[in-house]
Amino acid sequence: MKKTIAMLMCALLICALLAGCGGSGKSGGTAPTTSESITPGGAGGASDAAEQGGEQTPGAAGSKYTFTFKDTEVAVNGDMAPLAEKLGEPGDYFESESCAFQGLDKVYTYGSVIIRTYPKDGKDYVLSVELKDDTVTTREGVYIGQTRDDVTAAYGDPGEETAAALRYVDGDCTLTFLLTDGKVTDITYTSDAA
Amino acid sequence: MKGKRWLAALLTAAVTVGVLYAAQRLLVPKYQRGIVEGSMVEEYYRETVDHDVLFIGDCEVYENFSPITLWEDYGISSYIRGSAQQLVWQSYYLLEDTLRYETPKVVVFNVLALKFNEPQNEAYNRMSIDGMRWSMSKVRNILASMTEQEHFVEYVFPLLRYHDRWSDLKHDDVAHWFGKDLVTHAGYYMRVDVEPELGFPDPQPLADYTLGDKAMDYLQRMTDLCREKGIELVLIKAPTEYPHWYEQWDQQVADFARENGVPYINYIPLQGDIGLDMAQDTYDAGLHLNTQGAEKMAAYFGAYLKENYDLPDRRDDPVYAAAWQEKTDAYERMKKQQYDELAQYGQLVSFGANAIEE
Repeated sequence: MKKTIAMLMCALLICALLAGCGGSGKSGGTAPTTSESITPGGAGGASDAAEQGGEQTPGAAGSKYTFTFKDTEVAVNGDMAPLAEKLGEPGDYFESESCAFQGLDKVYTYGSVIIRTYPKDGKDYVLSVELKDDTVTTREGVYIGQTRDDVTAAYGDPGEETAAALRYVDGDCTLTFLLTDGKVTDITYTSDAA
Repeated sequence: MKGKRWLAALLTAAVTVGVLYAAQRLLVPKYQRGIVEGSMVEEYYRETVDHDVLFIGDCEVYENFSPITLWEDYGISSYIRGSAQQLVWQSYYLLEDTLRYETPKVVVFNVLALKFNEPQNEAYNRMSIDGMRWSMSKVRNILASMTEQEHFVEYVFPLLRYHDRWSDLKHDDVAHWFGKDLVTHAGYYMRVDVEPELGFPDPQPLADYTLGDKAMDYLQRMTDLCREKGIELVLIKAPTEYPHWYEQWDQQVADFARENGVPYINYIPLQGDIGLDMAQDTYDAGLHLNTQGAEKMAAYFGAYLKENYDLPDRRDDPVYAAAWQEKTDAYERMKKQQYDELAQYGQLVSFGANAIEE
């Protein structure tokens, strides 16, 4: 009888341990039911930075590719709230709720610069920064309308190159130059952690 | 003595399994209010009649087509096997799974998910896969869908994944511990509220518009499977315009359809023909249709189905009629509840984001 009770106690202990442990393992953390661990879905967009790429400190991905706009450094994976405060009212703003969750994908348009965000832990982080015309330049001095050679002169050999694009990767950021007929038509910094 | 030991061991094993099972049932998410999309896949197994038309895909099917309208207007028995951000391979394996139970005459697949070529997100994987009954289709679905951080064993024993929810349990976890309510209407997610479409940001140019190999491979497998089973496959792009459906993608799908002899209909340019007014027929500024829009879409699409496929009108079949009457009643009850909430509160409080338990 004692053995039976002991075995039952062991069984219950296993259950208690399973229910009680803190989820600090590789796949632990918040179970995927709340907006904390979720990201945009059928509606498309970013994915969860922590789930995909480990813990992200806002703007601390360490990429050398950042963009300076209105005297403010804009980095992918950076916290959007203080950034939005510094950049002021956008000319246009769009948000879309992700499928199944409360998180919002947001698109801030500041004239020639478009910033897209992804939600995580109740905050919004920079997913991408897109430069739309030649009134803005990258920190290395490249702008829309320049040639493929201008880009490689400023950035060196790309990590990936096609007829339509040059890609440079550093840290959690990919900097992409889209080309049409050898001229830059679009410049985008994109988070690889999102 | 030996017999007693065996009995004790057996009893212990039974209690352990029972407790673990009960704990698992308690701790897994219930998806009964607010975030209901995780209940969609499993609800299919509660169906009592077969379906002549099966929709598979993501939110662009389960929010944009009303099976109740297809029934009421055409006598078409249909079902939507969709879930949030349902990837192409997940749709393929859900089709395989469905074919274990029935063989529809027509399968309708929405192509937006072709934009994804890799596993995306655990939360959406869970909502699409956990509700499947166990079969090799589910096993393959898990293996095709897992992100790097996920583990197969956690799909087999969800308790391993959800054990830390014990401190986050909500009322619904207890109320639906051993039984869940239906949250859809033959797979359709109802929203009657209105938020007008006000335009979308310019689409971001892409470096490469080629749809991914894996996505297109599963589309081919879906096409082959339908052909093998004598099922007519219809590829569609729902009429909603965001996220952007690039012309280059559209052309690739059109080419695929032509090469495989299946129809492909992009409904975006047909919004006017359908009768959609995106100032009135969407609940989230144009991403998805509301119920009014989904009924228009179903009425329009039903006419296409009737014209092009030999689909029986089952309204005179008493078994089907009874089953669909039950669905129609539930649909009308929920519709009334939602309109009542809109009238009383100006917004839905028991559905959508406002209903998520904090």
